[in-house]
Amino acid sequence: MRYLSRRKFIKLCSAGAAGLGLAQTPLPSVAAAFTAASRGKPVVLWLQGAACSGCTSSLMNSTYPQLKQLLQDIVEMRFHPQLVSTQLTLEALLQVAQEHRGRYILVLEGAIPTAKGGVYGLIHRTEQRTSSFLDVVQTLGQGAKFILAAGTCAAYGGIAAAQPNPGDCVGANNLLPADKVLNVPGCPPHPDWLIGSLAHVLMYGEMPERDDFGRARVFYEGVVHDNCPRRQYFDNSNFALVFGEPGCLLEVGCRGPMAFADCYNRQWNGGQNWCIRSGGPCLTCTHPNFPDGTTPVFKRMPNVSVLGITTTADTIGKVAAAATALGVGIHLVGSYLAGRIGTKVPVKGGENHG
Amino acid sequence: MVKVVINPLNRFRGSLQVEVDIAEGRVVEARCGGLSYRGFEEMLVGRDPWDSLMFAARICSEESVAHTLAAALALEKLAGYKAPPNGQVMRNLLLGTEFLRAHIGHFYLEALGDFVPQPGENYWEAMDILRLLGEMIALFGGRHPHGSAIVPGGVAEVVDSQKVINFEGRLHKVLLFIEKTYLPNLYALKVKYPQYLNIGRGCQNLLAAEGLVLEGKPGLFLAGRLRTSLEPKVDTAEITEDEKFAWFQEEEAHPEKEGAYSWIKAPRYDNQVYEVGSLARMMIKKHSKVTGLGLGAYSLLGRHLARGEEALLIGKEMLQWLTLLKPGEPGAKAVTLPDKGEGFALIEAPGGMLYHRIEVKRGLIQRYQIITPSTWNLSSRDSSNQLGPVEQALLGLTVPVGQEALEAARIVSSFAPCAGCAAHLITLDGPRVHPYKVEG
Repeated sequence: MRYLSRRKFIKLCSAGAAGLGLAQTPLPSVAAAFTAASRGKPVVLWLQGAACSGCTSSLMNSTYPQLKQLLQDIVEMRFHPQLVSTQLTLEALLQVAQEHRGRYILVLEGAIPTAKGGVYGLIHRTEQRTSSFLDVVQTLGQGAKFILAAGTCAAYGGIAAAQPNPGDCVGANNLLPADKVLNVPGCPPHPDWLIGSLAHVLMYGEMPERDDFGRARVFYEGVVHDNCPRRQYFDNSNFALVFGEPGCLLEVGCRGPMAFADCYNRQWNGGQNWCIRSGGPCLTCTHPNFPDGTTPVFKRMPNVSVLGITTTADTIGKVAAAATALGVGIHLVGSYLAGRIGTKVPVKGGENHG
Repeated sequence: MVKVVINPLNRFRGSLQVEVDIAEGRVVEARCGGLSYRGFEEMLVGRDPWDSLMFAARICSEESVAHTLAAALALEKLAGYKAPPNGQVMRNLLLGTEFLRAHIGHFYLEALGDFVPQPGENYWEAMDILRLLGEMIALFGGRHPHGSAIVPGGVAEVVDSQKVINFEGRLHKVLLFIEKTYLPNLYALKVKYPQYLNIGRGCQNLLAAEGLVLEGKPGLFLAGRLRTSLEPKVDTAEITEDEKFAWFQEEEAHPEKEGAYSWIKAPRYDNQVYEVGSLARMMIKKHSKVTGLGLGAYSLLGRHLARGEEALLIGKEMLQWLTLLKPGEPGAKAVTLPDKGEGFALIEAPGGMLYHRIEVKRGLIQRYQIITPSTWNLSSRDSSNQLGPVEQALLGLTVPVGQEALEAARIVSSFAPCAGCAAHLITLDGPRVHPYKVEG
């Protein structure tokens, strides 16, 4: 199945031209390769936990391959809450998983409520038996070849795990072996990130190169701020103070300096737009600490000067985690990296709004 | 007596379970339960008021624009601002697009599978249309789903003629699909299953807020309550929420509560059960294609037809709204929020009436309340043992032996239920919603 080198595939995934997406990758040949193999198309089981269905909506927006091609030619989606029309009971789902044990790809959308045995996220309840999403994830996680944690909730807890988190929602990594879990964060994740990550494990039978947060490096390497089309405004200290004005969006709350994702190049919905181009701030929705470590939104990241900061997703994330643990607040990460925090008392988030 | 549990894991959004008891071929008892809980209202307490926009969007990706807009309108009410004309028109275009996406998406993704065994060409054509609708939302909203361009004060996106053309071209394709495929598919069901105009009547009390509004004009949808007669106003002081059969005790989540069977509470208007959604909007608007069905409007098929006709109505109206956009003029103005106060919004989302209310103290959210459309339709029974709308629609249903589950599932599906929205929400501050009167 190694008809295309990994290096070449990764290069094609990284979208040389803005908006081209995965169109340069020969994904249909994934289908051909699988069809030729004796086992047929790879079985995918897609489950939704504490979710808004946004990751599914995003998958449906894929321009290449389009949904029809993905579902008809590339994978065999045996279970999906919306995209598979044959209704399955829980028993039937477990049966399918048993039949394809060790071979299927499990996609998780949404966080997993773990409090009180998972009662905040039940999928079946009768007098005889109660099944929670937690139970099913653990069972199906055991038998999966790979697990794709689709979206920030499934990867790190995300919105579902925001404080006070009564259901104790967690991401897949907290429950399932990390060597099998590939995180595809984003709220929602770009369809290319989902399909590109999936294609990699299908084509090469192993994980793509991952950063410390379990994400495929190819999609989550670049800093939004460093690659922003509005970057020139920042360099010239030209800031938008009202939505809709030209200028860098830092003062209206853009989190581009702490966002690692290739939206600036890939753009969204077939290249129609993306958050910053629309004049809305980047909310850094791919961040491991989204949302508790990335809010308040629409407020300037206090005390941040990103000039001269060169760092990687791994570094900024680690500093962010440490800063959060210390109660410093993630907004100050930039300053921390710039060496401005630690010697004096930081300005509290919320007191320095532009 | 036979007990049938309808718990399909798929083709429903969110975890929903419906139980019906059947005696002598008739449904004698029905319970509709939401099985999951995320608790957005708890989450928002203590956060910055602006955060409500980002969190609200993520209650439900199908109604992301509606929730963001409701949150923005509540903040504008708090601060005493209104969006400039371009902002209002862009908001209507975004919300209108979301209605079209929700209606077409529900029919092809969730409902059609009950009637045809395999997805055909129409299904895949619908998937293309859903993608186009996503692109339309991206054009003015940044991306689909969950863009960040809808803000208090308007919409951050700047109107230019290229965007208008890109939007309009796609809208024409969508309208063509509605006229040539979606509506014909719906009316084909009416020919094939005429009996479905006679079942699933439900409570026959309908409720809607004013919807898709531009300043200075009546909204495309009108506020009102329709029972035996039409009362053209909605007063939010009359809304209460009952938690007797929901997993809540003294307003806190209580998953072990005896006798409870749902994460969804029971909202009531003037202590009465109400259905919300397209059927309510189209009946209150007196749209002839829906009122013309007579009693048949209150039915399994009536709800599907109401959504289809509504999609056509909204799509055509959107062409008019496009002409109101003025390239070069601002879509948003600066908004400063006061440190304390209250604001609310009562709007129509694709699924029905949507209510947001915010209380701010010392610059932080003190309390946030949300009542989503599905909370009304999927509500559990209340202290007076009144059943929710979906439960009532199932009661008395004659079911053919061996097809109990299918027939009941078709009725549930006709409400376009979204347990995703409904089950994730509670109201934390007692029964009364708030003291404002909203004149329709």
